[in-house]
Amino acid sequence: MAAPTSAYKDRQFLAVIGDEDSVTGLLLAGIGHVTQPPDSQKNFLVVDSKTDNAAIEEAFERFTTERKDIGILLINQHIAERIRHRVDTYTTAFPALLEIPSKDHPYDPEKDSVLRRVRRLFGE
Amino acid sequence: MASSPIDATRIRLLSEEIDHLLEHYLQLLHQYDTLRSSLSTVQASIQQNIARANFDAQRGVRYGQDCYDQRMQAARGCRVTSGPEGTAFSVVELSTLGKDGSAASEGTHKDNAGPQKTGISAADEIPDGDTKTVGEEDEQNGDAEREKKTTKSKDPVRMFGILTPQALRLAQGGAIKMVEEVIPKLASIDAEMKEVEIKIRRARKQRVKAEAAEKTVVGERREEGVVS
Repeated sequence: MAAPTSAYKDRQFLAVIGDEDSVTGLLLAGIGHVTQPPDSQKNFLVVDSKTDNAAIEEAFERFTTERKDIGILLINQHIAERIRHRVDTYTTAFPALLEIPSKDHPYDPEKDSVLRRVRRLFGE
Repeated sequence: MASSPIDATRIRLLSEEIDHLLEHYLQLLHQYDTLRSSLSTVQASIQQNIARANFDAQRGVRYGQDCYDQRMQAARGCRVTSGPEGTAFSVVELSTLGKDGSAASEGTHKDNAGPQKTGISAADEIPDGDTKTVGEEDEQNGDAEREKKTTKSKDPVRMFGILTPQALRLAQGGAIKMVEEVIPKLASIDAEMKEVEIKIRRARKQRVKAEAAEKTVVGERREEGVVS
């Protein structure tokens, strides 16, 4: 079923929640955007060992619910693991949520939310 | 005792539909898996090149968040289309952005053939049949040059300095490939998988209902047979 146009027409940015190198890589591709002052909202969050889960959740909430200009949200899989309850209960079509690997944490199919859905469908 | 032929046919049709949907779903899963592998490969190459750039950098220099431009503007953005055939994502180059941060222009995709259409050019578009004067042409050429300059200065690698190492440029190439080719395809396949999952669940529910209805009919017929 097609979604209403209003649900996706203004969604033109990609957002990223990731470690420094993942964010740097994606900013090199030109997806980084800072809105005009006084808001100056960034579409990325660099997460390190000092970043607490509340800050990650807040950014996740901002990119998925508050901002209506995000079309795809990329999140490092190991960071998604820290807010797994939020990631697994996220079912909205827009923005699309994708878990990506990082330097220190390669892709783990066991933790992938898409493959978890597949297992549920086949009754495992 | 024979069951209702209508129910039996309906159950068979629903089972066939579920089989077809599952077959399609598994094909999507295969594509998803392949794209996941290529995402891991590209991502590893990007990380490796960033690490190499940091290793070769002058002492104390690190290509990370300290170098990020606090006023950066997106050079690439995503475009979402949704229709009866499903939802599709694509990543396009944003030629110009409005002051409020919204893209004022049409994006240009790599695959798109033909001249690039920008917000500026869209505003300057001349209706068919109009003739261009020399002055207008000059103005347009000036616009094109200005646009070219803006595009050049918009190169995101510039935020890390003018003389950036080759490794960082390689990382940029990999990142562009990942953002333009792999990520939108993964997002589109994920969206399609979600839609197929809903269809499968719906068909399964209908089959369960049809089977229950069939059992009720058979039970009623048995009772009628016992009574008569």
